Amino acid sequence: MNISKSIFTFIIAVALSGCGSQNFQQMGSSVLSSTGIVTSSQADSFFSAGGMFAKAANSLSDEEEYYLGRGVSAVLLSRYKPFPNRQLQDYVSKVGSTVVAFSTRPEIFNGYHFMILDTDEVNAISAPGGFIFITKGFLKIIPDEESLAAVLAHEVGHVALSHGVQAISDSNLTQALTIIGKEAVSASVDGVGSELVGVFGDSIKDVADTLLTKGYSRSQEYNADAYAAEVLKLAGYNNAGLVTMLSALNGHEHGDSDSTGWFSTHPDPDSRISKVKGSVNKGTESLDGQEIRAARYRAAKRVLG
Amino acid sequence: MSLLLSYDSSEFGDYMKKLSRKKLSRIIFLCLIVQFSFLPDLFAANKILNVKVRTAKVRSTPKAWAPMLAVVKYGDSLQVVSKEAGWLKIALKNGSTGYLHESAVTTQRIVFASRNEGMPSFTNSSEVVLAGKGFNSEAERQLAQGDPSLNFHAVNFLEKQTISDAALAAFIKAGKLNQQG
Repeated sequence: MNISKSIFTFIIAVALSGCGSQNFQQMGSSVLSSTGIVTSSQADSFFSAGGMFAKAANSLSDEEEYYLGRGVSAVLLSRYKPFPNRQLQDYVSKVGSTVVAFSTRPEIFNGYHFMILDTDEVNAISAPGGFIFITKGFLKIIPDEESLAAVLAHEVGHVALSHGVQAISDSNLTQALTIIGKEAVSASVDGVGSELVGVFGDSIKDVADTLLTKGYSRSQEYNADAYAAEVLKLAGYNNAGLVTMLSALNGHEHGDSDSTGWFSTHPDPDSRISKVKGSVNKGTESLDGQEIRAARYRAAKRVLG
Repeated sequence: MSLLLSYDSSEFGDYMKKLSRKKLSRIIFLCLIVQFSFLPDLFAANKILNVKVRTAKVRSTPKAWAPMLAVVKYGDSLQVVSKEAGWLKIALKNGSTGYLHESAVTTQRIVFASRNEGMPSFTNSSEVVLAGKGFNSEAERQLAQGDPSLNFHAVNFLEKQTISDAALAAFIKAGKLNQQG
């Protein structure tokens, strides 16, 4: 089957599968294969791809994403303590809030919250619902505010693009939506069944596992970098800070303590630099205010020694 | 589309094969128009949208730290006057207008289960948000009971880490960042 027929067939599949019902998809698949353009197995695979567009609409609400994020954060905070310095914490929250203000998703169920984790591991993590973490170890190797803003913008990108929610396995998500659907028609509107608590816990584990061990897909990471480059520019930062940050990661000598950190969960910094360098500022001169921002970063960071 | 709903697959297959490419392209185009006409249209004026976040500030200008005019809450319905680069101009109760980012709202209806007796069943869950259902505070409470290692106490502390609009405005100004929003 040639390319134009493939595209043509896919367009039909999307158009017909939008209603989302399985029966309609089966019917559509039969209709499509009867035209002789595709075989029945090809028709089925086109419809399962087209159906994903309908599935995205039947996903978690902002409120559910928030509770999922609280659960993932509770896992994280069972392993790491907050870094106990008010000034540095406030500074990181201010840079993060600036980046959020220029993102495509500045509003989220209960607002974005940023926290420094007291560990020498190099890592930054965002949970669904806008909970964003950066380690003391990462702050130690970041050279300036532009680079810090780049890290936080990358993490906000993961939240805005719903990468965390996508980490829930298909089976857990389907199970959750089914249970919620059943609850909607039942006479009892209060109380939560153990079945739902079970799938809630499993969904949290899916996301935490992705964030801490497996990592997002390469394309999700590249997309978050591209997102960050755009948001930094809108905010008035020199978005070459993204390259500076990735270069700092490249130059960092990492030991075994990083096995669950940034290096095991992200693509190689060199590949990310090559992907993003086309969309960042190439000028060597500083943008207006860059020196001021670098100075306030150095002042805030003094507490790290 | 009704042609597709009452079909006999072999007859329809014959019909499709006889169609010229041009006619078929037109049919597909119409299908897509019908398809996409059901998608949320956040660009239409006088549209009613519903608040899907816990609370949000309606502001005097389309900027995330602009002065607050009003606070809206989860489930509130708002009338959109116009849209401008991600910001919605909405009608306020006192007759004036204010700005709210589109990420705070949804075309879906927000239904609060506890306020409804005999809640109607929704066969298409993309029409509504069932507030307080699914992953919620009660599910969290039961999860925490079953696994005391989960540190929700620290999460509550994390949620207290906030920056005021005034502090954000001052930070952006002092750092010579984009003050226009």
